[in-house]
Amino acid sequence: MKIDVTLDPALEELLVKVLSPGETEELRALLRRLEEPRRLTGFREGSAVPLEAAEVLRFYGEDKEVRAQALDGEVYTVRLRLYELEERLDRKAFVRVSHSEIVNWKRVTALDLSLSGTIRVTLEGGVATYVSRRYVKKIKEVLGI
Amino acid sequence: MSKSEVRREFLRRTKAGFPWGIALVYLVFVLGNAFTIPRPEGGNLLVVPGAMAEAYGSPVAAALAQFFWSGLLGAALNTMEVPFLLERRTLLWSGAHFLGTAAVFSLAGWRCRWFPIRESWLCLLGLLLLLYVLKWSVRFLEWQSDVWAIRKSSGLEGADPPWKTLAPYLLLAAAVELLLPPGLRLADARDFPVLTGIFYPFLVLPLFCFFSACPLGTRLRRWWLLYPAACAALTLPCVFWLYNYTALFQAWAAGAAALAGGLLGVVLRRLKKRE
Repeated sequence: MKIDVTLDPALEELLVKVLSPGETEELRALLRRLEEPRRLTGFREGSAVPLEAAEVLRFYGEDKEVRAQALDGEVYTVRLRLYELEERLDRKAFVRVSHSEIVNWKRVTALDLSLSGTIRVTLEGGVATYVSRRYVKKIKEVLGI
Repeated sequence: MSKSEVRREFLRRTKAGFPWGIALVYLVFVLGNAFTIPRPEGGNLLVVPGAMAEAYGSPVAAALAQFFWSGLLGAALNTMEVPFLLERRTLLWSGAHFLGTAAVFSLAGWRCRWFPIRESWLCLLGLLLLLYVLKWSVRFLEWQSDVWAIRKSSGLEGADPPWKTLAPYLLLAAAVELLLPPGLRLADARDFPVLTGIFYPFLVLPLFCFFSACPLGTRLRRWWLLYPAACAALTLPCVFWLYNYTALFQAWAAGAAALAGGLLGVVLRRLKKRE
């Protein structure tokens, strides 16, 4: 298999074009790998569990470790730093809301500003967390505002 | 921003504000001298009040004391933005900062004999409060507009932002409290101003504030509390324009009436919810 990489600044996102002499097993395996969502591994009570990114509500720093809170409320430890997660995750879905937290924006149900100036974000299942006002500009950029 | 970063920023602004405060106070005195007619005896430039120079025994000692106090005041004013760097309890910290600045301002005014009459001190203290309220309001509307834009872009459903509900009431209050008194003054009798002396402050103002705050109390949760403060603040321009400091009771009357109206609205909303 030959690999040819072309850098084109005009492209808005990564484009993978596969050229093949026919529909081979190698091609099918490659396409499966490309289409497969990137999985993460969560650790909990000594066991490793594959985590589907879309099923994670938020990633946050706690006790010098990174935790992932899943839709069912379970909390796992992820052996990646927040900035590494930011690079691996879908940037349109996962938004950094503060120095220590990344939120799955597709799971956000409400966003409120309190009278004291605190921005609260509510996720599915009633999980609430806070948005740092310093990150509001970045969130707006991600959302294309 | 972390606490240590906030602390560093506070110190940086304190250091930068100190010389600004000194420059500003001495500039006020220099400008005051320039517009004083007739010129003070001997034609000397006064940089401290005469009463202060007398109290300190010499103008130099008085100038040095004023140097310290005006620097402190400049430092306090220059750190006004720092509470906004905090992510939580911003309003509380901003309020605490106002109290601190008001204390420094009052102490400086007392030690430097800046205010020969109490009313001038109260008036400037009121302006300081207004500055903080304006600063907070502008910041808050910015945040509110950001949150609203994010909500809209994310497709999050929600009611109108509270300021949208509040805005027409504020406009109405501004119209009544800023335009009605001068209008009444034009129609008032010169010898006995019944309209602006009795009718407006004792009848129109409290009734308007009470009855306009009542629906806000039923429609908004907590946000209606801004309305009594706004009603009180809006009386101030006319108090000093058409009346004098003896009419400052209008601010309290407007605020208290709006607070009572809002509380009645809250009670009505809860009763309705129970039903």
